[in-house]
Amino acid sequence: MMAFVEVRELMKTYKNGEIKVEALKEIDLDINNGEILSILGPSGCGKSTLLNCLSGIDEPTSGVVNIDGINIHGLTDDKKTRFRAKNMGFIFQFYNLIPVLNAVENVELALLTLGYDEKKARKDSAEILEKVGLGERTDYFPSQLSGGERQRVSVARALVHKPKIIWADEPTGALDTKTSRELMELIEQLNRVYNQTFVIVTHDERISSGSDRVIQMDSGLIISSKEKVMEK
Amino acid sequence: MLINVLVIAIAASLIIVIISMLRNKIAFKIGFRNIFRRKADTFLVVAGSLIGTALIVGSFAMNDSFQKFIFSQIEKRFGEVDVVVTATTKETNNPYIKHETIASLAQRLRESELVDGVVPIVAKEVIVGIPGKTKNMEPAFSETVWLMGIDEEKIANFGSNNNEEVNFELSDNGVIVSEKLASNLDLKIGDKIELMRDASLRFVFWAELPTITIENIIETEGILGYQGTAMTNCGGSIITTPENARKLLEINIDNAYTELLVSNKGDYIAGAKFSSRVEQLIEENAPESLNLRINKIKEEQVESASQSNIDILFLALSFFAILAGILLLSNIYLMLTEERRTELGTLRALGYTRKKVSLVVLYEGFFYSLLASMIGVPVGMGISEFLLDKFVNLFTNITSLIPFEGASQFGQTFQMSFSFYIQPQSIFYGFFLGLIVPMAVVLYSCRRISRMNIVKAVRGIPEYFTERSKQIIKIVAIAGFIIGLLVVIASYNSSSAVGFFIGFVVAVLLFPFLFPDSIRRLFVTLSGIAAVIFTMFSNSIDIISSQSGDSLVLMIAKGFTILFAGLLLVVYNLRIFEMLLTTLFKKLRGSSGVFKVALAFAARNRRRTGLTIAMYALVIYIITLISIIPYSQERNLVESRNLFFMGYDVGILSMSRDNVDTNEYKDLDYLTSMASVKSINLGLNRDTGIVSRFPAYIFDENFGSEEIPELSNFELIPKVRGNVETAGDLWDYMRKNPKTVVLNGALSMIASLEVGDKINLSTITGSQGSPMSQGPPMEHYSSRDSVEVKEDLGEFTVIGKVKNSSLTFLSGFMISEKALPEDSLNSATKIVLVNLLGSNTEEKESHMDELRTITNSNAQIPLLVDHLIKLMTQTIRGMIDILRSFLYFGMIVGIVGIAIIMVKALYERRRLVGMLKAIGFTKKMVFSSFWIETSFTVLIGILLGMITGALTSQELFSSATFNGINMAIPWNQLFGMGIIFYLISLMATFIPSYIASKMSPAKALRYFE
Repeated sequence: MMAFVEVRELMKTYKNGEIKVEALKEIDLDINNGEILSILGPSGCGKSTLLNCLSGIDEPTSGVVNIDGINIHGLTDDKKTRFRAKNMGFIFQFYNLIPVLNAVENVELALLTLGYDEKKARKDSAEILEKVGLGERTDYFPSQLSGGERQRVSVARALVHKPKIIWADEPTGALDTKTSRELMELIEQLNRVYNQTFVIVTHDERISSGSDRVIQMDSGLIISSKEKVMEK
Repeated sequence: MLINVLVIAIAASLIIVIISMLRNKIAFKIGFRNIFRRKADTFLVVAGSLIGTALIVGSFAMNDSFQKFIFSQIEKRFGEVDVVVTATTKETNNPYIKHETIASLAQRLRESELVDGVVPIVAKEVIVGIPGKTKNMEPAFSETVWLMGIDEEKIANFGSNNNEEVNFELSDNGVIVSEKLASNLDLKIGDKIELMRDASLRFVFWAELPTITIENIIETEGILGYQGTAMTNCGGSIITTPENARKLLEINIDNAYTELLVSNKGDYIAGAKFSSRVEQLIEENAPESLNLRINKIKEEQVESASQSNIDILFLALSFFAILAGILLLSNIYLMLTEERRTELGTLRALGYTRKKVSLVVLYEGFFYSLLASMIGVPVGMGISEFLLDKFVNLFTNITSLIPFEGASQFGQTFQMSFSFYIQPQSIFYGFFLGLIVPMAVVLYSCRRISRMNIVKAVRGIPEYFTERSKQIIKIVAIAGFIIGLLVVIASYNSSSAVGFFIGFVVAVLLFPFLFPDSIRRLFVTLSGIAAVIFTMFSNSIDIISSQSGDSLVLMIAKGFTILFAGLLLVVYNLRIFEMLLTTLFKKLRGSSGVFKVALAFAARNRRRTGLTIAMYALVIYIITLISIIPYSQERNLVESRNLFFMGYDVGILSMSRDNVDTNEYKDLDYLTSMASVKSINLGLNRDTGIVSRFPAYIFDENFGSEEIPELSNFELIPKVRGNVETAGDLWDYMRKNPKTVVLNGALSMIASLEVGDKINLSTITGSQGSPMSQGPPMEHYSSRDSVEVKEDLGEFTVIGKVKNSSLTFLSGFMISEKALPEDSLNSATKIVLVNLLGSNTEEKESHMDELRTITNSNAQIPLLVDHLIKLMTQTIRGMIDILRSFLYFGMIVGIVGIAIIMVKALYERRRLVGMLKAIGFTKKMVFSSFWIETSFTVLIGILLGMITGALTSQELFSSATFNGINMAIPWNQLFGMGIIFYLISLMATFIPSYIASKMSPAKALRYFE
């Protein structure tokens, strides 16, 4: 069976003046549909760069990323953006919620970008907020929510348009242990319900414990890949 | 004195700041390095801050240049002459002073430390002309000039600038003439001219006039430019020796002089301040045999020049732009403190005291303000130089249109003598004010910074008002509300319209603070609407309507209320605008997210957006006002065309003492009709005994056109209205009913006369003394004696008046000649009115050229009504153009303001832009979201400024000040200006919008400065 995400010989080199930094060194990786994949590694090992290149928000220096059979880096910027809007969801470490929009407005933004009718967007957003446990706080602004609640809004925004794959860059980085655990349980639960693919970048091994597979990175290379079949 | 205090204050402040910087090196280092952190930010902050300085310096420079021009004219006219002494002898009442009589006084003055020059002269206003043509006094061949006999050696020691190097070696009948006279009569050295020492000699046909020879032609300046104290505009000067002057004036007294000219110590301006002390000195040392008249001419001239204060006009206009500048600064430093909050919070956490943390912002603000003030001064000077150039060109163009001989020449002289000038202290004041205003805003920001909550600052959590702060605000507002009400009651009792109005508005606007926060928006909205409605209808309240025409403060208060209430309404209801627009654009599938984000950023950032809207609204408001008012006046002027000469195209006036003779024009085939009116002064006898002197225009039997002016321009009593169908009928009615008058609209207001009133009129011969009061064209005298009533004409009925305050040459009472005894019109000035053949202005103008060939030879001037309207409209337009140019510069405040906001937004929202791009916002969508946000703020600001400006104009036009002129709004101009302003604002935000759209999402998401 063909992998949902196929990565071949992916390289990313940064230039810092005269110095070349190889952030990713010929990465090959397959990610299956409905899988929760965690990418672990120390700070600066290239895991966020890998996530950015996989999701199409950064350009690799070379290599191919096929998602659902489409080479996303072969698309124009606008097509790639639309592809992201339709097929991907994002969860960020610092939530990146728009401070002047309330919870439901932040979530529905993902639907409005896809051209959803305003009423349907509002209804779907409210439903997903209900599912992430924020049904009572749909009209709260980010500044009125706790860190965990903000991240839940961010998760809701990532899931509301039912994307095939969700990229999460250190989603628990700004949360305490308890909230982090709760968030991961939520992700696992949603994954079970919707069968969506999750790719989570983290440096916290405890967070990766609920994943189907954990890959370890160091100095721009994948140094190990462990499947947790038993736990699943 | 003030400048010394300011110099000390500024120097002391600079020293304190510098010492403080040396003592707080880390704060200085952070503050200083912040300037170079984002160069685009620094550029915009300095650009925004310098506008205030530039406008202030520009206003001062305008005033200094005008004042210098007036002073240069004073110098030209009087040189160093500060005091003029004339005298009559007590015994003989003779107006000549003998040298022996005043020798000791002159000597005493020369010895005084207050005086640096004394010279006696023999002088008088005389008429000179081409031999044989002087007695006719025709303008082309004769001139009224100032004859002055003066000792050459005494000029040399007169005043501090002894530069009068004129050769006085003249023959017995030799004279020196001024270039002006030579030019007017086309004279050259060696020519002979006649001199008539008194105008009455023209009737003495047998008297032979003396002839004089021109031996030199000079440009008369300084003491030689002196032309008497009367300030009449002479056609030039004739200078000769005292002996020659006595001979020409037939003064047969040896060593007799007419005036003693005194120069005070100091230059031509500085000396004026000693005039009172010199006057005292003269009085103390005056010979007993003389009755002295001491004229402090320079002091009077300098005073009136100083009172011209054109800077007040420009400062008043700048006020709005400067206020907008202050809002801009507040916004800039609000954003700056927000931006620096986390790092300053960290400093606090690390152990920095509140004071030290605020010093970081203070130092940064100090550098910005200093830089802005330094650049603002030359920018302001540049603006004023540009505007002065425009002013000179306008003046030259206008004078070239004036159909009087010499007007164009005067325009050219003005162009040559008027130049840009600024006093050093004006530069200093501008610099000081430009520095102090931003520093005040910086200090306020420092206070805010020092009070921040460390945890919230470090974690980037927004800080709102604390409960305590809210309570304090509420208490202050309630106190203000109660004070407002008390002021209303007190003002009502003392009939003070200003107090009543301001008290009421303050109470209304503070009323919402009596309610909890949750429902305040509703009450702010209601209060805002109530304040606007109250202002618009305030003239229906007696106490206000009785004073609304006179009080400038009331007028400003009303305008400010409309603007402020409008701002409150808009800023408190930004969410409603957002909701309306979001609903409007929600059908745009795919773009509705862009609108949602953009509108939310603008509408839900109330303080920042509100300040920006206020900046735009303030500038557009004042531009709207100064566009509507002159435009309405211009329209009124154009609509007055047919009323100017009451339906006639041309008015012919005489420039000589002879009246215009209608017989000279009666056979001209291009004149379709002709009539005449005679202008005299009549007395209006009031019941109180007061007699008002006013101009009356007595029309002849030919006066009156059937078609124009349209009868709808007149308000008539019902009896007349039923009997007349055209204006021609109206004049006929007045001929048949001679005891009737028709008034000019403006005069009816000034004279407090209404249609249907009965009035008692009388002919008068003159007036004794000064009037009790005057409001041109009327003068009010306390009794019949003081106007020398000649004959009572009986009771007249005001049967009609010209509606509105239409501009008319015949700005007095219109009366039929049948109503007055024939001999009362002997001394009247006659104006001949004619209609030219032709259906349009071009055709009429072609006949004007033919008409001029006749009028020129008769020393008469024909005034075509279309030319006059054109001249006046060009003057209005030109002046407004200059004022508007000045204000367009103020628009930069708004443009810089929006550019700063968007640049800051770019930095603040970098990660959000990255997120938006990650979740599907294309480049175009990001770019559009920035422009939609700009458009929302800018368009609301522009529209608010226009609407409040139009409402204020409407209110002004309903007051007595505008005398019933109909308001006209130049929509095309206003919308054109608004669109240009909007497009420039969009351009100003192009770069941040473009950068945002091009941003790599991965980099943006990683962004931490």
